Amino acid sequence: MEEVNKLQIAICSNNHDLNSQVDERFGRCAYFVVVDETGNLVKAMSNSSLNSPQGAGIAAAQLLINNQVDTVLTGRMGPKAMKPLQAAGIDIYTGISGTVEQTLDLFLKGSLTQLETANSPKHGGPLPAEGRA
Amino acid sequence: MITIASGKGGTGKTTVASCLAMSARQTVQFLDCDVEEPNAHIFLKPRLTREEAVSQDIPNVDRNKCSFCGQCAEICMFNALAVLADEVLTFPELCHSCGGCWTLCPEKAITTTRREIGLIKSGSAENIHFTQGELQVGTATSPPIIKAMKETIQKNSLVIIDAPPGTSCPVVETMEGSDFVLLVTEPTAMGLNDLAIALQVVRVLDIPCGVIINRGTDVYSKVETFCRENNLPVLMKIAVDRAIAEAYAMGIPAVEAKPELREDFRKVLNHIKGVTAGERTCCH
Repeated sequence: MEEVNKLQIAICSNNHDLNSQVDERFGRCAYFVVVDETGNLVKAMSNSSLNSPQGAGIAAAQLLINNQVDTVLTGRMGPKAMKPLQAAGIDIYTGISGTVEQTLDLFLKGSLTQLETANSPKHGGPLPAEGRA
Repeated sequence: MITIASGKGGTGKTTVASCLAMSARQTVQFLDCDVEEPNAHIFLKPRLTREEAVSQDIPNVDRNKCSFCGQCAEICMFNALAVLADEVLTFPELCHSCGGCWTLCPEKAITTTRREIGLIKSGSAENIHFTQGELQVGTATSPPIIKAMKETIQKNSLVIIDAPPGTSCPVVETMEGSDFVLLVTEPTAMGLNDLAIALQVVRVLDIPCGVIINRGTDVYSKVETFCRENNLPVLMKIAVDRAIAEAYAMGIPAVEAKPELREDFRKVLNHIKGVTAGERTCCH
C-alpha cells in the first residue's frame, strides 16, 4: 500500500508535547513540536539555537529545513529567519496561541495568517539574563 | 600597553584614558577602540590626518562546486550560513571571519571575499599619537577593526587603549596582549556588578589589573570592600565634582579643569609601570 505523505507542521512551543504552551518567538522558543494535519505528534525537536548570541532564527530555520518540515506556525519572525525558510518553500503562519493542540486546530480552521514579510525586527538577541537591564 | 576598561558603560573610561595620556611625560600612542561610538577625540582634540578602510573576510560559495552537505552551516557558531537542498544562503553581517567554513568545506567550494566594515582614523595632538576606529553603521562585528588598530602599535612605546564598554568579544579583543588593565567603576550597585564581571574576564586573560573609582562618595562602600576581598588595588578615587562634570560637557578633560589631578594620574601610571616591570605585586 502506498503511503500518503502527511504535512509536517512545526509549532513553536515551550515544551515537547501536544499540551505544551506555544511560544510566540521563533528563533528562541524551546521546542518545535512537529504534528501532522490529523493531529498526530510526529516528533518534538529541542531548539539548540535557543541561547545563540546571534542568528538564532537562522539556525532554527536550518533545523526545520533539515527535518523536512512543510509548514511552521509561530508568533513572530525576523527577516533573517524568513529568508532560508522562504527559499526552502516552507509556509509560515502567525497568530498562534494556547497549547500546541489548540494552535493546530486554529491552523486547520484557517484562523492563522500566512506571513509573507517579517513581523519582528532583526537583532532580537537573547533575552537578558535575570537581574540585568 | 594599558587598557582602560569597565563592565558598565558611562563610568569614565574615556575620562581616565585621556587624562592618563595627557598626564604622561612621554610620547603616548592612544587607541580609541570603542569603535561603536568613539569619543576620546572630543577631549584629546587630535588633528586627524590619515584615514584607512578596514574590511573583513567573508565566505563566497561557488554553487557549482557545492554539494550542499551542510557542514559549513554546522560548524558556524555565528549562524552566518544556511544550507538548503540546492542553495546556500550567507549572512555576511553575522560572520566573524573565523575561517571555519572555508577551511572545512570538503568540496573546496568556499573562497573568501572582502567586506568593508569601518574606518581607522589617525593623527596627533601634542605628545599623543592618536588612532580611532569607526564601525560602519549597520555592522555588528567590531573585533576586526580593533585587531587592525592594534596592528599599528609600536613596540616599546607607552600605549593607552580606551576599550569599549561591557565584557563581550570586542572587549576581549581589546584587552588581549595588554600588560595591564585598568578597570574604571563607580560606587553604585550596577558599577559593582559589572566590575565583578569585568574582573572575571581580566582574570581569564591573566592580565594584572587595578581599579579607579570614579565619582566617588562615601555613601556606597561595597565597591571598595569588593576590591579588598579580591586583592584588587584601588589606584585612584576621583571624587564627585561639579567642575569635572561641567568641563566634560564642554569637551574639556578633567586634568584641564582640575590640573592638580595630573599628579594623581602620574602616580597611577608609575604604579602600573612598577607592576609591569615586576617591582610591585598586583591583583593576581
